[in-house]
Amino acid sequence: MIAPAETLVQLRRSRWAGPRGVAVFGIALGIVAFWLALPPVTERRVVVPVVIGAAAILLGLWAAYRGELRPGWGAVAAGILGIVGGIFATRAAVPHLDAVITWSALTAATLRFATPLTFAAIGGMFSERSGVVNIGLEGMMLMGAFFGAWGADRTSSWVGGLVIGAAAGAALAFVHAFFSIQLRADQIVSGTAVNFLALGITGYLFQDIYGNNGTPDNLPGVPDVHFGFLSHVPPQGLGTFLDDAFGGLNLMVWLSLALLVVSYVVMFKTPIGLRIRSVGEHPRAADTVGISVYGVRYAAVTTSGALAALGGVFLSLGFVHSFSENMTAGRGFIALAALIFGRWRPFGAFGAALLFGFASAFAPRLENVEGWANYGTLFQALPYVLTLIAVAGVIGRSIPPAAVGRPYVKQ
Amino acid sequence: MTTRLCGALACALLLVGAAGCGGGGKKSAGITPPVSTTTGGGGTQLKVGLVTDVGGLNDRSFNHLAYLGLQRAQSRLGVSGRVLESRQPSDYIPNLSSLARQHYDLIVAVGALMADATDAVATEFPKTRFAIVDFSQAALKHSPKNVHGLVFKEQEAGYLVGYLAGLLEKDKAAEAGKANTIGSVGGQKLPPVDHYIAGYQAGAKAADPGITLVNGYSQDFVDPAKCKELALAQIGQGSDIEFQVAGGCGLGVLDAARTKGVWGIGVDADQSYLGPHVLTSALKKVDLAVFRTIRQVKAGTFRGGADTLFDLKGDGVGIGRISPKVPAAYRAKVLQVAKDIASGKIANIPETVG
Repeated sequence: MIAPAETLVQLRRSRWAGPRGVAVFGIALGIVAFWLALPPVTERRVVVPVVIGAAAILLGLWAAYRGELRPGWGAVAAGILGIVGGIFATRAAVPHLDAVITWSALTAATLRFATPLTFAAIGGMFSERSGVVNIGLEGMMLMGAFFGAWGADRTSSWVGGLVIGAAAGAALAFVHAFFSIQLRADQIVSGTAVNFLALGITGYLFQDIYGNNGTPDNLPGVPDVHFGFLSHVPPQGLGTFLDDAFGGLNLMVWLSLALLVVSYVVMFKTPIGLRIRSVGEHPRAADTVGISVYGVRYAAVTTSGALAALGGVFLSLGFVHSFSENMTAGRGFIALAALIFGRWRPFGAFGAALLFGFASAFAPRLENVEGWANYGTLFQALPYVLTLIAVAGVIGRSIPPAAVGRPYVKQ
Repeated sequence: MTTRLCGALACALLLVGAAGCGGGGKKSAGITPPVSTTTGGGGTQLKVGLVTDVGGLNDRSFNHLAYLGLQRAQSRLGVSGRVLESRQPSDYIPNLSSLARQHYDLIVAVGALMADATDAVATEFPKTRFAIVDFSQAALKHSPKNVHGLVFKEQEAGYLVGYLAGLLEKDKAAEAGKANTIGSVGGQKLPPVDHYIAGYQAGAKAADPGITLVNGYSQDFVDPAKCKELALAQIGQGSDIEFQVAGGCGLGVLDAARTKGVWGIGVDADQSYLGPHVLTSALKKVDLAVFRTIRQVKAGTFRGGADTLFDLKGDGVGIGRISPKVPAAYRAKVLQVAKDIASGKIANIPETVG
């Protein structure tokens, strides 16, 4: 488990050198092939993406031949997509391309889509690293979304909403923890039950408290953070891009990025993290050295609920400034997927969340391409298709904590 | 591990999809707003059931309006009503057929999304009366003779709000030399949605021939975040007025308008109460349609196998409260256009988005 620093460095080198590195380079080339055909470069010659994409395919085939099957075929897929995307883009009219691709707006939208997923995925990481599967993230987000709005309404401040929302998520997570740790219930079943519970609680209270008019329109929302200096960054184009992309993001977007760093440090650089991981990998061993397995798991699951709830608070208070029933719309499950694709690591999960976010932001814009307006429903599948390619091609097998999903029985 | 993942995946699917049916069914019974219960002896009291689409009762839009119509019928006509909310598309058939099996005198399906389900259930229960909002009876697959379609000329309401938007934009373009762009966000490319948008675009063009129109579909009627993203993208393209035609999802469009300091236009119900950023609303009086249909059943004049068309002339559609910031002259112009539509002077408003 714990390797000396030197071995780690060697491992890392060998992971990226040779055919594997070539394959990754091929994947990057496939992306470049498409990118060149888009604004601001807007390469109009069909041959450019085709040649670059073909190079990606060749590199991928070579890597696959040398035994790096997944990244190799991933590069082949990226090359094909790059060629197809590039051909479409070079044939489309430039104004249409400009309407579809505004990188600054796309960046901001990607971050907005990724933020709730990031909160929930990191929450999930705490729970799963301690050995408790948390399929109830969706319900915990929903609790956060509703009680965040309710709390902000009651306390007339978004801070109150944030705290009450997180507390509600933690409370729901505690229920999940009680069933899956104390009563040793099946964690999938308990998590599913918790999701239904949240749907029922929030739906009922929403009707009961706010009736048909919904949450009040003067709900104190989490503020956006404006960085005026960004627009003055030279050169002009870069400054405008930075300002449009990052100059007006919600405070919670930045909070999620800070949480990313903090959770990484806590999980991998502190004794607390070591305890959580040891309880999730080998609870018996942790128990024998005096770590309270139940205590750590309770704390981790409850924390996960509070964090996931913050994702819900972002949706209701940070973004749309109202609550509507079932407004999380499956994001908890996507976050769980992001966690697994990210190999139960904060930055990995964030990367997956960004990929989902980008695809979700990109897909509806494709309708602006002339003649594509009728395929909107099809484009909705883009996030999932991209994920499949990413998982099958690049990530490969993802290994969960050894004791995840297994209730611990004290001896 | 594989089993665990499969289990997790299965549960996720279950929750998102099929199980929502069980949950939805149970929940709808649990949180049905208080309605009078039927008298046990099968007396003369009329039993009316209402099934919402996935938007749910407080979409602040047409499901909500349909419920208002039912409530009015309860208090004025003394019928007994029951509402079943659908959580998932898979709830439509179970909800409709459970009411049919309980021998309701009229079952109202709210929304074009329920067309196929209504067709299937009405064919299976040929003696039960059904009404469907936003869908023509003749367009149902089997055109069952026990269904009455309640259809609206949304394009007339859309034309009015579009005309007002065009008037405001023309001014703006003249004074600032800016591009005059307005946008619309639809939930899905369904006939009632496109009626609104087509009318909106035609009205805007009539008031300001040089106007630029942007339009998009969220493929969703529930998730406000999706609609807000679309609206933000359109505002980024220069749109100054955003028309939402996406029910609960569209509330995100109005919030985008508020955040970015542009006008928003509400749909179906009068949504001016959402804040001063709401310019006006395109009204579709689903409440009136539902109430009248119930009255027909009570009077014995209900006619299956036909449609009723609600238009501006019959006060079935219209324009809502206009923001007090709009100059009186424009208000008068819009009212004149409304008169012209009612009298037939303005005709052939397009129904499809080109």
